[in-house]
Amino acid sequence: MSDVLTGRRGRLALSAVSILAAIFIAAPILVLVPLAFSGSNNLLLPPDSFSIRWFLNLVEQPRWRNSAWLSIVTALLSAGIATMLGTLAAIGISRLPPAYARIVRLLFIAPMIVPLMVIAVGFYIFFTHLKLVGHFWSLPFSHAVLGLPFVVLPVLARLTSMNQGLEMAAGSLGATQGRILLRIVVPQLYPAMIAGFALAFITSFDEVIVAQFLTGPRLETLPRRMWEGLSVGGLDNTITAIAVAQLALALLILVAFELRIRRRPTKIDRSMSQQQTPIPAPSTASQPAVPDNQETPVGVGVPIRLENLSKHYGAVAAVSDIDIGVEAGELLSILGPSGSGKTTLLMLIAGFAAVDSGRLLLGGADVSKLPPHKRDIGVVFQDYALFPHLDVMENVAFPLAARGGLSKADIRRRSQEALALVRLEGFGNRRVDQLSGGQQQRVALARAIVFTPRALLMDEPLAALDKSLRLDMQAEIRALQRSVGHTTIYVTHDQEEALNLSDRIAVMNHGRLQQIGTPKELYQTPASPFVASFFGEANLLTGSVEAGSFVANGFETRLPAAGQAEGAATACLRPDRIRLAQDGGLIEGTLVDVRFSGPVTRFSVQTAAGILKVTRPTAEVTPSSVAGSSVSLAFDPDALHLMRTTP
Amino acid sequence: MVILAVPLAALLVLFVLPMLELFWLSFSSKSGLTLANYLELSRPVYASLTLYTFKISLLITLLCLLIGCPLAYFIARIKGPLSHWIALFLVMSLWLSILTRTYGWVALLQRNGVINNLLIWAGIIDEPLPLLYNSFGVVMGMLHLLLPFMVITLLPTFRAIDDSLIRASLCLGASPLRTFFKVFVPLTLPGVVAGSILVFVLAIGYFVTPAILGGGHSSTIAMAIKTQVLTLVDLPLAAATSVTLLVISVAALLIYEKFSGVDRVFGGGKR
Repeated sequence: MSDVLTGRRGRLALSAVSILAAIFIAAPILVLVPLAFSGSNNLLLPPDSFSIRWFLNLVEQPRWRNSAWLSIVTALLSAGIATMLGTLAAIGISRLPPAYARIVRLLFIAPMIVPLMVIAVGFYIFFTHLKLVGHFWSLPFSHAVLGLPFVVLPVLARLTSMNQGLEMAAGSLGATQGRILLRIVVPQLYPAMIAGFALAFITSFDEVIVAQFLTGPRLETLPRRMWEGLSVGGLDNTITAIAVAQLALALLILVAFELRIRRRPTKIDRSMSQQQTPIPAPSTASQPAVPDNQETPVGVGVPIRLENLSKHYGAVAAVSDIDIGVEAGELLSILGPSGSGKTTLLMLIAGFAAVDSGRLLLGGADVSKLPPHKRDIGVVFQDYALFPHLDVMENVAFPLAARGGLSKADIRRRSQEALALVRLEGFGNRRVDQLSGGQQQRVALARAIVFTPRALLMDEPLAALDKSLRLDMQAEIRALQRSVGHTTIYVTHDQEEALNLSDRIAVMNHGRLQQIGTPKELYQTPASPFVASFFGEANLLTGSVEAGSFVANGFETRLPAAGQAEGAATACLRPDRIRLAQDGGLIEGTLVDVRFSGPVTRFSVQTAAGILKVTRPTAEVTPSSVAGSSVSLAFDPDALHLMRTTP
Repeated sequence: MVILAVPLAALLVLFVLPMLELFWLSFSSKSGLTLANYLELSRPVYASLTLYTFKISLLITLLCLLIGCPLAYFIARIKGPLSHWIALFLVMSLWLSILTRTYGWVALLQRNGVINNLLIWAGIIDEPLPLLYNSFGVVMGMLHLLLPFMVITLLPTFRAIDDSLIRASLCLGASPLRTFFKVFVPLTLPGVVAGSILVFVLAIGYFVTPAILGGGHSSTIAMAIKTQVLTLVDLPLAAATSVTLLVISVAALLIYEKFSGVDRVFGGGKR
C-alpha cells in the first residue's frame, strides 16, 4: 500500500470497483466451465446432468476434429510468419532515423487499427485477382498480416527500453554487427517475441471474417464452425469445451509465468552476496598477484596519440583540436566539467563517433577509421553495460569468444584468470543482477582486460559507487593497471579521483584542452584561471606586473623571479599558502566566516582585493579567530603563481 | 536497411496493395470511374447505421473509461496480491477466444440464462428481462472485450507517475484531491486520450460480437459491409463503405499517434 494519494476509504472504494470489474471480466468466462460438463445443450445453470460429451465431440466428430486441426496449423503458421517478419521489422525500425521510423512503424501497426472487416474485403478482392480464394495458403499469410502489430509492438517496446550501452560495449569488446545482433540483441527480445507469438496465434485462431471470405466449405476453420454454432437458434455446446480447453491452457501459461517470476533473485539475495565478499584492503605497497601466464605479460600497453582530434555536431564544436600523447603504461585522466567534451572525446577514442579531422594513433598505427570492434581497446562503461542475459563468466568470456581463435578451454581459463585478477573467483555462475555495485564494477573491469587490449578506456567507472567503496576501487584499479601495464585513459569529472589515480591529467573545458600535466604541476602551476579554480581551491587575484612587483587592489609584493613580463595578470594563491597573523601581514582584512572542516579550518576574509579563502590546520587555529575580528594575511611571494590574463 | 526489406515488402504486397485495390474498386463501376458507390452511401439507411455505430462505440468508450480508470489506478498504484491477480486475469482474458467469450455472454444473458434466473430467484423481477439480442447485449459483450485494452493502455501511464512528484505536491500544501486534479490528471491525460481513441476505433470496427449478441437487430457498419459482399454481392459498394470506415480509422490512428504513440499499449506495462 504505497499510494500516498488515496486515503483508507479511497482504497476501499477502488478495491470494490476493481473486484466488481474482475467479476464482470470473469463471469462470462467462468460460466462456461460448468456448461462444458453439462449433459444437455440448453445452457442452464446448474446443469441438470453431467457428461463429457462436448469434449468427446472435439476428438471424435470428424468435422470438429478437422476444423480444430486446420485452425491450429493455420494459427501456428501465421504466428510463426508474423513473429519472424515482425521481429525483423522491429529491429529495422529501431535503427531508422526517427522521422522514417515513425512512418514505417505506423504502417506495421495499421492492421491492428484498421477494422478487420475492411481488411477482409481488401483481402477478398486481392486474392480473387490472384485466383487464390479457397486456397489453403491464402489464410496463413493473411492472418500473419493481422498478427504483425502484436509482434512489432512488444518487440519494439523492448528494443527502445534496451540499454544502448550494451551494443556499444559488445562493439568495443570485439563483436561484429552480426554477432551483436545475434548474441546481444535477439536473446533479450525472446520474451517479447514469445508474447507476440502468443497474441498472433490467438488472433489467427480466433479469426472468422477473413476465413469466411477466403476459404470455401472445404477448409472450414474452427472459428467458422463456432460461428455457425453461435448463430441464433443453433447454439452448439461444443464451443464450451473449446473454451475450457483454452482456459486451461491460459492458466497453465500463467502459472508457469508466475513461477518463473518467483524464482528471480530478490533484494535479500543481493545484499547477502554483497556481504560474502569483503572488499579487500587496498594494497598499493605490495603488488597484487598476477597469474604468470604468457597472455597477460607485464607492460602490454602501447602509446596512444591523439593528433589534432576535432568533432563538430552541427555548428557546435564538441571537441576541437585535441592533441594529447599518452605513454605506454601510463594512466592519463581526462578531467572536465559536464559539457566540456570529455564524453565526446571518449566516444571518438572508442570508435562510437567518427572524427571530423585529426588522427588517433594506437601504438603508431592510425585507428581513427576502424570500427569499434577492431580497435582493441578495452572500455569500462559508466553503467558497466553488463549483458543481463549472460552470467558473470559468459560476460567476461564474451570478448574472447567474439574474437575467435581460442578453444573453449582456453576461453574458460583466461576468463577465470581475469576474474581472479579482480578477486571474483567463484562468481562465474552468478547472474549479473545478483551482484552488488562494486562487484558489477569488477566484472566490467575483468571483461575489459581479459582480451589483453592494447589500451584501456574508462568512463567515470566509479560514479555509481558510494564514497568509501569508491576510494577502495580507486586503489584497486591503480594497482591492477600498474601491474598489468595497460595504457589507460580515465574520464572523470571528479578532481579528487583524478588526483588519486593519475600519472598525468588533461583538463578540458568547452571542447578544448586547457592543460596537461602531473597532478602536482596542475595544482602548483595552473595554466589558466579555469584550471586553477577547477583543480583545487584557489584565490584568483587580478592585477598587473609592474617593475618586478605584482600590484593588485590593496597590496603589492615583489616577485621572487626577475624577468616577469609587464602587464595585466591574474595570480593564483592557494588558500593553504596564506597565514593568519595579528599584524604585519601583506593584506589587512576582516574575518567574515569561520568553518570547521575536520583537519582544517576554512576562513573567509574580506579584504581590499575581495574575499580571500584561507585554509589552516585546525590544530593551529587560535580561539580568537572569530567572525568579525580583524586579521592580517601573510604569504611568501613564491606562493603567487602568475597567469597571463587572456584578453 | 537490409533487415527491413523483407518484412516491408511483405507488408506492402499483403496489406497496402489490397487496401489500394479496395480504394480503386470503390470508384469503379461497369461504365468506368464513378462516384455512384459513395452517393449510394448517403441514403438514410446508411446514415442511421453510421449514427448507431458511432453512438454505441461512444457509449462503450465512456463505460471503459469509467471502469478502466479506477481499475488501472488500483492495479498500478495500490500494490498488493489482489491488484496483482486482477492484472494477470485481465491479461489472460486477452488470450481467450472472442467467440467463446461471446458464447459465455449468451449463456449469462439469455431469457432463461444465469442473470435472469438469479434475479427471479431473488424476487427482484417476475418476468425474464430481454437482455440478449439487443443493444444491451452488444454493449456488455463489447465492454468485456475492450476493457482490457483500455486498462493495459492506462497502466504504463499510471505507473510512470513519479511518486516524488505526488509527495512534492502534498508537501507543498496541496490537498490529495487538488494533487490528483492538478498533478496526476494532467500527467496521465495523454494516456487516457490514447486509450479512449483506441477503444473507440476498435469498437467501430468490431463485427463478431455485435453480430451475435445483437441478434441481427442492431446493425453496425461492419455488418452492413458483410451483407454487401456476401448477400448483395455488390463489391464496389462494399469497397466504398470499407474505404469510408478506413478513412475514419486511419484518421483516428493519426490522432492517437499524435497523442502518445501506439507503443503505449505494450509499453512499460510488461515486466
